[in-house]
Amino acid sequence: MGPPERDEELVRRFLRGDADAFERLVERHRQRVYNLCLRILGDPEDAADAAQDTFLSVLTKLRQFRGDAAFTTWMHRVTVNACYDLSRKRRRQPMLRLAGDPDLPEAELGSPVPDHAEELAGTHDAVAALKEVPEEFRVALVLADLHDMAYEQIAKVLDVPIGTVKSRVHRGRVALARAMGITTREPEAPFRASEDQS
Amino acid sequence: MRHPDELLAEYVDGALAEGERAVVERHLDSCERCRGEVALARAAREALASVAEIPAPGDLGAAAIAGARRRAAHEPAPASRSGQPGWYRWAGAAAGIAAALLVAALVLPHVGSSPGEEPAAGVAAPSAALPEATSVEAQNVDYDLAGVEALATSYGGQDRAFGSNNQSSQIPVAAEATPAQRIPFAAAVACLDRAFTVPAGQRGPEGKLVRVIQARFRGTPAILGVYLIGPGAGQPADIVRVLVVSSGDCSILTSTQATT
Repeated sequence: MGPPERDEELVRRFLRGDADAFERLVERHRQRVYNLCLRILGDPEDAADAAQDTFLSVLTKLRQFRGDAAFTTWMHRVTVNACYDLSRKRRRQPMLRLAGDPDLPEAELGSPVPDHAEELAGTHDAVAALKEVPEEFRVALVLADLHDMAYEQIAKVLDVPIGTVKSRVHRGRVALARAMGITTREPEAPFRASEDQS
Repeated sequence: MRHPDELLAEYVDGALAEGERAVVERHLDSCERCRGEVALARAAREALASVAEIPAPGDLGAAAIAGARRRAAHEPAPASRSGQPGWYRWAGAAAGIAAALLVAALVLPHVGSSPGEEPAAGVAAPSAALPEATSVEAQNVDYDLAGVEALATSYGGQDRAFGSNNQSSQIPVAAEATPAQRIPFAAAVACLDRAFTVPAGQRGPEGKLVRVIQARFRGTPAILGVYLIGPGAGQPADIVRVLVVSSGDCSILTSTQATT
């Protein structure tokens, strides 16, 4: 048994009419796509919807894939865009969801970070706290720290400069820690008079 | 004071080269804010390292695979095909985020007002191989334009590959929906017909209605009708049209067609 076929070869086979190659691609990336959607959107059902949209978009747009980027980079871009689309849709329809689903927790309707965050210290795990990290920081953070993607590749996925990615990841980590209620021993006041004067 | 935000992520990763690391450490010696942030970032990175992957739903992507198979079925290159996952598997992949939403929207104002009780009344240009639709397929799926297009293009030129309502398999999620949530077939067809605001004496949408799906389109509860349109004279269908209408007011949400 030889090494597994590269994604790009599977794409070529599919474009020549081999549907099995497309199925291999989906099977290979299903888990990764779903978990990326799950951590960006924070809701299993939304994640399944966004992942479903991702694979349909991949099917529709695969002929546009030129191979000038790695397939995984391109597919991650499609996935992130599907999450952004769903996220925008949810923001446009908060009342509809509220009216249609009385059991939906308020936190899932995009409510702002609770102003009693301090009270939650120690009760927020990382997964729950991720939802409170601003979206553009969260996406970079998930790609870097949960998907172990290099900053350079994230820059290609998000189509932003690499410096922006590094900054977003750092800001995302700090926001996550704060959302988890983690505090440092040192005071965190960003600009203390004593510091500026020293 | 200027803070080296762009270097701090890699500093926390332990990935900075010697020179840059020294720059950051000199800054940290004098910057309380960045020292605090580095400590927080380290804690967050450590917390994320213990986040486990969650298994994806088993048939996630099945709809796209089905679309790929149907597309490949009428492409010239040979393709090894085994199994035809039915379109009903859409439903399984997107577990019910909008069941309650559907409840609110599926009470059609014109239930029972269908001009004919026979399924797919008023369609023309029959395509011999596929039977007309006789039931509504409930899918807990939110289609977007790409999804509707994929549905249209999935109907290749070979009738044997077509999905239809008349498969022996039952729709998994449909079984979970309560009868109150389901749109009666006659009402769904009437809604599709009504979307055309049919002038007196004329028939509704052209073509043979081979599939009726109750789902959502971009969040709006919707009915999707799949029509096969042929040139007539007993010739096979060469156009697939998917009409998407709001199940609330029967207005057209989108329409797309593909050649077989």
